[in-house]
Amino acid sequence: MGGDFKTAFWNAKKSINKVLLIDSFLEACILFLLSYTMISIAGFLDQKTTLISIAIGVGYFILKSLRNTFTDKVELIGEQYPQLYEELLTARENSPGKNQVITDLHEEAVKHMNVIEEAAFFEPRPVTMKTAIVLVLCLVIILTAPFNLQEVPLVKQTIEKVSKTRIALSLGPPQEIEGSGPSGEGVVESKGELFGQKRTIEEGIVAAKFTVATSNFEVNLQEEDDTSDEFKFDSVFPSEIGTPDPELFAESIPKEQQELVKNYFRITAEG
Amino acid sequence: MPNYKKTFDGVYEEMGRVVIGQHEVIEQVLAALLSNGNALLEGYPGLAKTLLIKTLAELMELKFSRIQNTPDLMPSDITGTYIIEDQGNKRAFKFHPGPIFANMVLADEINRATPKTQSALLEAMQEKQVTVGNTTFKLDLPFFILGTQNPIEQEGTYPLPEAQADRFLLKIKVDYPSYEDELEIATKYSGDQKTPKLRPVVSKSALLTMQEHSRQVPIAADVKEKVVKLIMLTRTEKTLIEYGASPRASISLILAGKARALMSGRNYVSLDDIRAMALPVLRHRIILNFESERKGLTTDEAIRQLMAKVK
Repeated sequence: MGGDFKTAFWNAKKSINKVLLIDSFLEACILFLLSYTMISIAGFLDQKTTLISIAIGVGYFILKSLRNTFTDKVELIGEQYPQLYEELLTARENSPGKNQVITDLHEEAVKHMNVIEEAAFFEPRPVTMKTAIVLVLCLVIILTAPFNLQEVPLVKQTIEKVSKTRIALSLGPPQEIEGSGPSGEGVVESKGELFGQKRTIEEGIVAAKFTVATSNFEVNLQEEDDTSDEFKFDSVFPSEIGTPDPELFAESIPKEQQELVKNYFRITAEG
Repeated sequence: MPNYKKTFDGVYEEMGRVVIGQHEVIEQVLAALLSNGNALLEGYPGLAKTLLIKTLAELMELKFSRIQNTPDLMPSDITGTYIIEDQGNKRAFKFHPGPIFANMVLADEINRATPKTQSALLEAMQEKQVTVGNTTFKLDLPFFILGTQNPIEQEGTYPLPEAQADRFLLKIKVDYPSYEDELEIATKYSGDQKTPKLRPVVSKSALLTMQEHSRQVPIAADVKEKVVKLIMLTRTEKTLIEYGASPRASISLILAGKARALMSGRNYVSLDDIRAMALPVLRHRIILNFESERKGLTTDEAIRQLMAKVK
């Protein structure tokens, strides 16, 4: 009879696991699709980021399944069938054959467990919601694929904000820069660092992205030797665009420090 | 094993022919009986306490006796005594058993007896035996003492010492019946109807088997832990309670829970059983502190507050 209880309990566990697996799968799909959508909207979509999205989904699925495996199934049954909770708990803790009461308890528990239905653990509302979310996310991805969402002002602003946040997070609180810029009169503040201001150095971490649009000029490879005369731009820089004095951007590194660096490299070069 | 729910439904049905209402009291008395414990009934006079016990004894084919406690009652009046008897041409001492030699003993107004007489009941309650002189007599099983006391008229009484109160498995409160029940009682007992003849529902041997089965009812570790947590709380919750319950209370609560489970036809103890039996098991085992008494808190309310804290 004890074997019967174990078998019945095992079967109930299997049924519950099946239902939980479906639930975990749906949640993992949502996570994957969400991360994929976010990455593609942010314009970081490439092979690597796609793999990251898959990893997020798969990772979540594995973790959730593991958690479900170790969840006490009696408690789950108890949530759906409160009247069975204490009965199953007691039957599980007491092996049959000890006395007549426990043997009867096992028989009753087996009888009651056969009444447990898989459907009881299948909550239609959340599952329907999750399935709907998966479908909506799939549709969003399909429908937005032909459009460049990065040009949508809201998306653009968000991306910029995210980028700024990333910079802020990596650099800490920004330092004050006085009068910098093309028409600025001041000088970039120097704190007396060897390579100028600390921020100037650190900003180098952030990769600048330049897009060089192909313009209407030709390069004749056969006349490579004297190309200088051949280069012709079809557009002329407007006169109002001026270049600021490069000295404005120069960092005021003290002369002695410049000399120190020069000497260092000279000594290094001479061996 | 038979389903005891049907058996006890039969008991309730037969009891209902004589005692109107008081379902909770009957259930608790039966739980004490199944747990092989004793019960203390507290209630105002005229609430059918004696009738209830007499009826129960009749339904279970048990020998019933009643001791009306008074301050001049002597221990030997309860346990029995040796008297000289003529045996042919010689005289010899012969033991004449007292009213304690029964299966179901009703110790009416137990707090009116002197502590000496009250303590004479202790051995019988705990050991199920009586010692008179140098001889110990085993009592016929099942043995069950049901003490009653009146919550009013405390003058000339000897409140039960804690040690003796702790030996009662349950302290059962008998309240006034509801309007409908009282109407039925008034109609039934003011007419010319004779007391109905009851049919025995449970035999003595069946009751002993039930007591055995009641002990065998398993209890989940989770439920057991909650029982112990509750009892521990009675000792640690100093904002409410001055003196908490002893480990005997844990044992009693589990036993009472098992009995209730068996009566409900279940082969396991549920938290509902524990909740239902916590009040009668604990109310005579804890002493409220001054602050709680000043606020007018009852022991039942304090126990309910503690139960709410057990998670």
